Amino acid sequence: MIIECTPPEVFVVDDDIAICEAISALLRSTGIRVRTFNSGSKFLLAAEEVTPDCVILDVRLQGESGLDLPVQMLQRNIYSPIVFISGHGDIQMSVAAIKAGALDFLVKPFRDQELLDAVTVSIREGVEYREQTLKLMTLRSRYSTLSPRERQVMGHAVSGLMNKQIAALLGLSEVTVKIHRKQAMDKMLAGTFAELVKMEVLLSG
Amino acid sequence: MMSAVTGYAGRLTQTTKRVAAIITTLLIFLMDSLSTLDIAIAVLYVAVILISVDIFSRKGVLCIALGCCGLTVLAYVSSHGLKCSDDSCGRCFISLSAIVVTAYLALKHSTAKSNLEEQLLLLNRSEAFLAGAQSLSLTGSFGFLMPCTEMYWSTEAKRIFEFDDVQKPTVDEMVKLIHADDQARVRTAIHQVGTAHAPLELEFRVVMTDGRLKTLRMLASPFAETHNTCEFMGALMDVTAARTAEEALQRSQSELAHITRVTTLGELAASIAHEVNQPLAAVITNAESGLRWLNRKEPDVVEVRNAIERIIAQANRASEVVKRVRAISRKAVPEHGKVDVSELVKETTQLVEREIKRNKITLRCYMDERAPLINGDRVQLQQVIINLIINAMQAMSHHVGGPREVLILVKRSETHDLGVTVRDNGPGILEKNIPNLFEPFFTTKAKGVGMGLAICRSIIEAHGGRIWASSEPGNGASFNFSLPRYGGPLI
Repeated sequence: MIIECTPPEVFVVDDDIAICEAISALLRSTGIRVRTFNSGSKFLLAAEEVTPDCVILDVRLQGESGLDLPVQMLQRNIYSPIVFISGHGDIQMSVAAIKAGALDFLVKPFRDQELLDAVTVSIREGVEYREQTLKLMTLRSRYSTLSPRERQVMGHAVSGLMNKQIAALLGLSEVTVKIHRKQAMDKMLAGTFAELVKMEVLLSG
Repeated sequence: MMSAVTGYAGRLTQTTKRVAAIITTLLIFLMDSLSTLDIAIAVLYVAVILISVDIFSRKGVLCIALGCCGLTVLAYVSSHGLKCSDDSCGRCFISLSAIVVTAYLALKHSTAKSNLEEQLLLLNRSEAFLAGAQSLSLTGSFGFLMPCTEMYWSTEAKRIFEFDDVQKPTVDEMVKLIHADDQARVRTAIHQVGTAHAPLELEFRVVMTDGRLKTLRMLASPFAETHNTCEFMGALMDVTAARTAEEALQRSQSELAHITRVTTLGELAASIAHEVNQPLAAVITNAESGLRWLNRKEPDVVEVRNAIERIIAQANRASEVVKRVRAISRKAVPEHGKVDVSELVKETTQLVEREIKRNKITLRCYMDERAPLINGDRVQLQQVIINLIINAMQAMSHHVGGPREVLILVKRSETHDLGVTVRDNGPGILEKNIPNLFEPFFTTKAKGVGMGLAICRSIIEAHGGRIWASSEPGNGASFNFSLPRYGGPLI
C-alpha cells in the first residue's frame, strides 16, 4: 500500500560518476527517485537504512567486484532486486551475474528502454517480493502469539487430520482440540480453515 | 734504383773531394818544404781543414788537422833542420796555431750543424706525424688572431672545408660555407669569443659546393693574449660520420620504441576500449534521458540542459582518450620539451586504470610537490611509465594472498633531480637476474620478448638519466629511474 503512494526508489552504484548521473537523469525522467553511489561500501551503508526498490550495479567497481555485493546485501538483510550493468559483457560474466542473483544483465551502452524495462520489472518484483515478505512477517508475528499446544493442533489440523485423530495423537479430549483449533484460527486472523492452510504453507516457506 | 745511382754518384763525388783534399795537402806540403819564400805557407792548410769539415767525419777532420800539423813540422825540419831560427820558427808556430784554431772552430761548427740537421729531421718527422694523425682522425687545426679575421689552417682543416691552396682562409670565407640555419649562431659565438677571450666550442653544418652536408665540431681556446688582441688555436673535426650514425641509431631506437608502444597499446586494448565505451554509454543515456525530459507533458528545460552539458563533457572525455591513444601510437621524431612527470604519471595511470582494476590491484601514487620539471619527450617517458606499471602488474598476476599493490613515487632526489619509483609487492626478482634485466631479449615471462625494459633504459639514457632495479625476493621489486631536472647537468 505504502509503496504505491510514494514513487519507487532506485540506487545506482557505479564508480564512474558520469554513468551514475546519466542513469539518474534517465530514471528521474520517468518519475523514479534515484540515489547514486560511487562505491559498494557507501551503498551498503545507505541500503541498510532504506531498502531500495531496485539496485543498478556495475559489475566492476574500484577495488572491489560488484559481483560480491549481492552476498553482502543478503548478509545485511537488504532484499532488493539487482540489475547488473557492465562495460563489456561476455557470457561468463553474465552467467556469474545471474548466479549472483541479478534479475537482469545489461551491457553498456544500453538503450534507455532496456534499462527502464529492467528497472520496472525489478520494481514490480520487488513490490511483490516485499508484499510477500510483509505478509510473512505479519503471519510470523501472529504465529508467535500461539501457545505450543495451539501450534501443535494447528500443524496437525492443516496436515489434514480430523479432530478426533488429533485428540488421540496428543492424548487430549476432542473438545479441547476444538478449543485450541478455534483459538489458533482467531489468533491467526484466519476467516476460514482454507486460509489457515495457506498461512501454514507460507510460514513453512 | 734512382736512389742507388744518386748514392753512388754521391759517393763518387765524396771520394773525388777527398782525393782533391789530399792532393791539395800534398801540394801545400811541397810548396812549404820547397819554397824559399819567408812566409808561412803552412797557413794554407787552413783551407784543407775547412774543406775537409764537409767531407770527412769528426775523426777524419782531427786526423787531417794532426796530419797538417805534422806536415808543417816536417816541412820546417826538412828546410831548416832542427835548429831554431827565430823567424821561421815563429812562422811555423803561427801556422800550427792557425791550423789548430781552425780545426777547433770547424769541428764546433760541424757539431752545431749536425745538431740542427738532427732537429730539422725530428721536426719534419713530427710534422709528418701530425699531418698523418690529423688526416686519420679527420681533425684539422687552425689558428686565428682576434679581432682580425685572417686564419691559419692546417692541410687537414683546408681539406675538411675543401679549400684549395690559393684560397686564403678567413673567418668570413668559412662562415660563407656554413648552413644558413647555423650561420647566425656561429657568427655570434665567434664574436663573443673574440671579445671575451673565452674558449669556443661549436658544432655546425657546412654545405659543400656540390650540396653535400658536413657536420663539423670546432674547439678553440685563447693561446696568446695582449690587451686588445687574442690569438686562438683550435681543432676542427669532421663529425659527419659520427652524427649520421648517431641519427641512424636514434631513428632505429625511436622506431623500436614505437613498435613496442603499439604492442603495449595492444595489451591495453581492453582497457582503452572501456575508457572510450564508458563515456559513450554516458552520452547515449544522457541523450535519451534528455529526450525523455523534453517529451514530458511539461518539458523540464533545466534537466535537458544538464543532460546536454553532460553529453558535451562525456564526448570530450572520449575524445581525450582517443587523443591520448593517438599520441602514444604516433610515429614521430621525439620532441623534447618541459615535462611535468607527476602530471604524466597521473595521465598514464588513467590509461591503465581498468587493467589495474581487472587485476584487482590497488594503485597508489605519491607525488612530491617539489619534484622538478624535466626536459624530455612526453610520449617516450609515458612509455617507460606504462611499461613499468604493466611489468609490476604482471609480476603480481600470480601473486596469491596478501594485497596486490603498485606504488608510484615521484620525488625530488638529493641532487635536486627527478626520481621515480614503481614498486610492487609481487614475488620480486631473483638476484642473478638483476644485472641482466635491462639487456635486450632478456625475459623471465613465458610470452615476453624481452624488449620492454631494454627500451626503457635506452629512453631514460637518451634523456640523460639512469634506470635501475632493486628487489628483496619475496617482498616485491622496485624499478627506479632518475632524470636530470630541466636545465640541470646530466646524471
